[in-house]
Amino acid sequence: MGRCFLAAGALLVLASLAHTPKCLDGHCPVENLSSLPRTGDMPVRAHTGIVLELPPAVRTRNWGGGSCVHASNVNLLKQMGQQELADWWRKNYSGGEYDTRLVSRLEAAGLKYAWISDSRSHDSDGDGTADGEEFFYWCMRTGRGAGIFYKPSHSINFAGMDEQYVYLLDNNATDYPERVGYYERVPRADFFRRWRSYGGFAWTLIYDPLPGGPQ
Amino acid sequence: MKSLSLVSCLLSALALAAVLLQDKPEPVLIEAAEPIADRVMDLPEDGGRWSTIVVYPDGAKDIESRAVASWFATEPRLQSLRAQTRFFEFPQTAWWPRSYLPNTPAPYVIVLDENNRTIYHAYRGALPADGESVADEIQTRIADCCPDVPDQKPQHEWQARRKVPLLRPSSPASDDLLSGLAAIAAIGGAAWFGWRSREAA
Repeated sequence: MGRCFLAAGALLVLASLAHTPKCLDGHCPVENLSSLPRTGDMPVRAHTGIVLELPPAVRTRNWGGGSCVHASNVNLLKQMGQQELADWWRKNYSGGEYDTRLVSRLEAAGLKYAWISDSRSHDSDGDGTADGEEFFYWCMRTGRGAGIFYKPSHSINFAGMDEQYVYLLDNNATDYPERVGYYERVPRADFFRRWRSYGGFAWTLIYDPLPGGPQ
Repeated sequence: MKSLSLVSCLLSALALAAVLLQDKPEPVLIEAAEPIADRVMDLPEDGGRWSTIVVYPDGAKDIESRAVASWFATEPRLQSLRAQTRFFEFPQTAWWPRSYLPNTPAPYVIVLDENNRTIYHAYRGALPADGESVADEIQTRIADCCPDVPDQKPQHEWQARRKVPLLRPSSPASDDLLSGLAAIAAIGGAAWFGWRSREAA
């Protein structure tokens, strides 16, 4: 009887763990939009600062024993309306990836892309804003998501930012239920510090980004 | 008996390993072979633009779809709108229309501002008669939603300047002027050709 209670207790603990939102490495998911900062009646995109808006069914999940860099790139291709190239990339590349090979593959595929490597917080133009921050500001300003090397041995998508947070889309956790997405968010200063600690590499594609859902 | 215990132990260990590995992110990055060379490039400052989206039924050959396609290829204000906004054409099966407007009858035209607010929307069965009427309607909606205001500087570095498309009304006066200029050019061209022909003879 005692064993039975023990087993039931263990099952209950497991069940509760299964329903606990994951908060890996201090990155807490945004569970619903009402928790996000609002500005009057501004539409979702304006008040969340999310630019990489992919519905859950469209998001690319990591595949084939660790293809997170490729999954992030496929997400970018989809956001920029390049569905055929997204299918091509998905079919032709899988497995581990590193920055130089990714860049050479982007080049070989004839894609229009931009990347930044700023692990040491350089400020090339001396304007007081580090190159890495400038890259993400440009992505945000022009409505583009980015792929980033982030979390241990992992790559995910930068999905946007606002005054307080940076929003992230992890290809190991794509099946979230909300209409405009379920994003992880990290305080901005933490994001930049951690991104640099993981090597400070980011890239994006230079095509017209698709708008999110009409408001 | 011993071998049976060993097998069950191994199976348990495998099951435990499978449970432990289940939620871990898969390994993805591998060490770079060599550093990447820096390359500086000019990035386009194309933020703050609106979007114009035209969606056709899959494999569309119907009259309405062909009409919509020709409006955007020939009507000057729609061509101008196309150039000033991010312009997308999709079959209805593409992920964007399937996800966001699955029940809207195609073909349809939708214009969104930089924050995805719908400025204009017309769909099959309720499309205006011709491209000029579509351009008139879009022009009116833009004027209603976004009256001329002085260009405001964005508050933050990651915010873009709003780029409201400017559609100029098609005026008979300017059309007349263009026709007049074209006629002068045609007469001039004919005279020059005649003079050259005489000279060659």
